[in-house]
Amino acid sequence: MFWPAPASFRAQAAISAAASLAVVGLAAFIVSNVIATTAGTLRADARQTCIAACKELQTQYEERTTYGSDLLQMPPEAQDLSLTAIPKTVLRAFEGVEGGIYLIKEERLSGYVAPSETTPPRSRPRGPRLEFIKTLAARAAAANDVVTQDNQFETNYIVWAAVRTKSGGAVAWTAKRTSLTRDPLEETGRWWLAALVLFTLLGMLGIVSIWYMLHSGVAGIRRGLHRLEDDFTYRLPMIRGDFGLIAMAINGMAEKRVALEEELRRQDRLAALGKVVSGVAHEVRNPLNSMKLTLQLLDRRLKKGVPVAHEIQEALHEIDRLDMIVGRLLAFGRPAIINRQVQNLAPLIEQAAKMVQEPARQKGVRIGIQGLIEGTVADVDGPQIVQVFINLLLNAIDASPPSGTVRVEAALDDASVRILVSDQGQGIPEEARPHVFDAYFTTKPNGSGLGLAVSREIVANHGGVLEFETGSSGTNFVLRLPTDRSRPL
Amino acid sequence: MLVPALASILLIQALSYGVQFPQRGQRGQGDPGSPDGRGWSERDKQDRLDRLGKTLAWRINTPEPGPENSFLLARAGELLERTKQARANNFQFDRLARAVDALLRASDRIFSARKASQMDDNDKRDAAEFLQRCYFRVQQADYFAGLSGEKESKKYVTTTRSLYQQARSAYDARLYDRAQMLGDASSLIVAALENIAHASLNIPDPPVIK
Repeated sequence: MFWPAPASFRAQAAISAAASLAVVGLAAFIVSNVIATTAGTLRADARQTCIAACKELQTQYEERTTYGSDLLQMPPEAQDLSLTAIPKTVLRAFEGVEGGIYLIKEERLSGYVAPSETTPPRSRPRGPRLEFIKTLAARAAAANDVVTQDNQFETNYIVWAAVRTKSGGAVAWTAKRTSLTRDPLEETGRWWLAALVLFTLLGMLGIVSIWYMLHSGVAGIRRGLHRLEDDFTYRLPMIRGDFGLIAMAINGMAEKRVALEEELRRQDRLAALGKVVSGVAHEVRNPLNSMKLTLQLLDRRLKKGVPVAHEIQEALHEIDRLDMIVGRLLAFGRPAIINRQVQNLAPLIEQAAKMVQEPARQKGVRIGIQGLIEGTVADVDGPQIVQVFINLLLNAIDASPPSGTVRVEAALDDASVRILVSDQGQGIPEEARPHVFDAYFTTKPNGSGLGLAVSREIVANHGGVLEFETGSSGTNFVLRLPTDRSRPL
Repeated sequence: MLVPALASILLIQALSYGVQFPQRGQRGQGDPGSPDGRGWSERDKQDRLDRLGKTLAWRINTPEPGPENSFLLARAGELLERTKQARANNFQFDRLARAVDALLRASDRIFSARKASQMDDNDKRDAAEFLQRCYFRVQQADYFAGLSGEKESKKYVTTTRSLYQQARSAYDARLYDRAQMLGDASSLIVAALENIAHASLNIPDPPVIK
């Protein structure tokens, strides 16, 4: 069954609160209805009881006066004593009913009996109650049947019944109290209703409390995670309860990540340092060996008086080479300073081609330049881009077979200039491909391993991209430079 | 000698039955007379005392009175003495005389019940209604006994209840005449208690205009 899940704690809390309120309202309606119905039923029952008691009282009074005709001629005290015996006997069978005889001619109550179970004993009617009984007796005296009336004295709801005796000289009357506030069922119902409302409110309070704790906890965790994205030194504040455990776990994970990153950085530094050291040692050792041999030869020749100009030139050459290596190291290490200007790339490519003409000639490799049009302009630092082209051309010449051709093609896209440098070599070995642009990585015996690393750094500083495609028929290096410096690739 | 004696006994029995067993409307009640005791002259009072004394003496001499009768006659004798002493107060005199009379009537009903053995189903309805009234009256015994001040008030109550139970048993045995006699006896004892309670109120006589 499709049922959309609440989107948030707030929605869940609102639904729960609405359901709880509905339960409270429904329960209040049902309980109040039961109370009202019960109160009505109790009053109806009391009325029936009063009527029955009243009729029995009437019958017994008739019996007494019929078979003891002297009763009504007795002195009032004796009369009252005898008449009291009648309601006392009759009302014993009617729980909670009080009553007596009202003598019409004498205008006085006689034989009043209060309910025996009443505590403290109810006193003989006087004041407003006596006046009410007189009024009721007057109504009964004028009627042919039992008259009833309900009224309220203070907190009591009283049901009355009265009937005239057949002889007409007296009225038998009864009354029963059904207290609204003291009715047991009603009282119980009120307590149940109050308990229901109280527990529902407590339940709602619990729901709101849970919602608040969940909401604030989740919100705190969410805020902390957002801050952690920007600042990994930030730590989530301590939260009480289960969310506190989650916050602690997140903080622990962050600590571990920081430590792990620090370890990785340290290992990277060590690895890089090792590479640099090995590269520098390799680069420096060869010229030093050469210089050592040259100086030994120079020493022997000087002792023999042989001219040494050539050997001095070789030593100076090696010193220049060492200077170049150190220069490249410095260039790789220091931040690049670029003096860019919009210019045609064709002269830069031609300049680079001229500078590698000698190595190409020695190997018999031809450099073919295609597609260089006047429109292939880019916003670049000329000398640095020339250096990139030199590196790419030298690698291509080294990779090319004797009498091979290195092709340089230029093309213009919408937002970039694309220069392709391709050779006809055997391609880059599979295992070397991931490290092509790594510093001090080289497959050549005399390579420094810095050419492609420096080139990609220069291209990246220009907002461009340097990539390669390689296979068994050769390797293509693709250099793409943006025509607009504000829109890097 | 024997014939006049038998004749006198029969005459006394007939007279006592006629006096002690009045019409149905007066069953279960005391001696009819002036309700407030007014209108009794000293001679009337003496006549009444004499009549009650003769009846009591005759009852006491009756053989095999039984436990209820013995109690009732003893109480009647004591109450008769109280009645004699209460001649100064008409209402009190009248109520005590009524009480003595009720007890003697009750005693008479018990004697008569011994002889009654009628099993006429036509009397069943009357007997049932009469016993119903007797039951209501017996229910009042406690109330009147409490107000009477009699030293043996509890025994009055047990006696009247016992007689009512005997009446019920007689009714169940279809001895309806006997049931009515015993029921009437129980009601008469309650009437005696009611009259004793009235007498204990000490209501003064109204002033006499000479």
